[in-house]
Amino acid sequence: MLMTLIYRALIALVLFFILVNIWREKDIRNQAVGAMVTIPLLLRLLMLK
Amino acid sequence: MTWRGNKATAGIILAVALIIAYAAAQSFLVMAQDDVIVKGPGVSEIRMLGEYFSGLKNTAGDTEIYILRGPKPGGRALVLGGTHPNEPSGYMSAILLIENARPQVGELWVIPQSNLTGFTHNDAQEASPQGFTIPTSWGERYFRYGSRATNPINQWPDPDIYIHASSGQRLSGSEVRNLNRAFPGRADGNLTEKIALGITELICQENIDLTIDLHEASPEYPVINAIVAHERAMPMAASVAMNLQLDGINIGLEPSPANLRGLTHRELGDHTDTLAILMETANPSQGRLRGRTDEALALTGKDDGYVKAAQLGRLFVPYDEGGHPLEERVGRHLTSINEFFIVYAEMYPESPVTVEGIPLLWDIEKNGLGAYLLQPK
Repeated sequence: MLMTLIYRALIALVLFFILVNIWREKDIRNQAVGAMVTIPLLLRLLMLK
Repeated sequence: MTWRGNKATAGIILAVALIIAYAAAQSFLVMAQDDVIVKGPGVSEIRMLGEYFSGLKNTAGDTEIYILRGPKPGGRALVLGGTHPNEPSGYMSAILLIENARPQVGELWVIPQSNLTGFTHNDAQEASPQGFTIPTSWGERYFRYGSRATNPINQWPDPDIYIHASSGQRLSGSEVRNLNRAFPGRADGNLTEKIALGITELICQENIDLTIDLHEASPEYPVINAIVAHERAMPMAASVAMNLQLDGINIGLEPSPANLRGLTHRELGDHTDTLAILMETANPSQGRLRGRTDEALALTGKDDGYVKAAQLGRLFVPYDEGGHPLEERVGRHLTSINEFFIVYAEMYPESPVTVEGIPLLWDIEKNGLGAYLLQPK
């Protein structure tokens, strides 16, 4: 259980950094790539998949 | 063309990503919705497996046990469906027992979804359907098509090598989530081992005389359309196989391998007093030679690749354009179970199990599965 909480905390941290990067990114293609990465991270953070 | 982005484009792109994630989540959450199982006329009581091993309570592995008691005392038989939730004839046979069987002597215990957490996801990269629909005279019943293994959401990570606790047998890491490699189970083990222990404890505490575990396998697998019996159950299984052959049902008989550990027919036979049996039917939707894997394949068992494989002599079951429909696979299981009850009563007259109302192969092939599924209230 503790391991799962640490795992989810790491996912949340990575997700946060990606969101910050998307927000600061000046190239729309890189913004799109970042957004695609957020989808599986979000599903895993919520333990849906 | 300029690709200049700004905070407005970031917001729009993230909104699109959120919509996609929401749609994907809805699809995955469909698998979390429980299947409807209707209490048939023979059901006396429903218990939870966690009552037999407290470590399962309030976990994703706790699952329902349906108890069907006859008016006269006798023996006790247990039927396991859904040990592998991607083998629909196993759990559909168990559900048909719950909704139709009426014990007259002894008790019939049924666990329709032995690995319940396996029903909440699909095997990755197998393109399996999420479920299938059975038409009935009053409407439709929907059932999930799950995974062979426990959901990794509920049990992770997989080790590089899975070592079976009581034997030291080494298997590939993903087998750690295979319920039929986890028996007899372990109290301080992972979720799959706890489910296995719950079933082993149920058999011990309730003095289950006969245990039948229902499975399916791909047509290119050697143990197919077969009974696998622990050595103590072999005389009974041999009689059943002969009787089924006389009835026109071609079925093989295999001894439970002594060095293949963790399976019901080996461990339940070794660690409890029950007579342990496992049965297999032919399901092309599990095989490596299949084409498109969809609801139709799970229901009809029709696949051109398997027709070709049969023509090349590569299969262990007869296979033609007619496939192996779910009706046939469920009918084989239920007819075999019925035969086991008959032979068991002959061999152990002090504790018979006599059950009426079991739909047999010829009934199901004539009337369809839907004729034996009750309408939910």
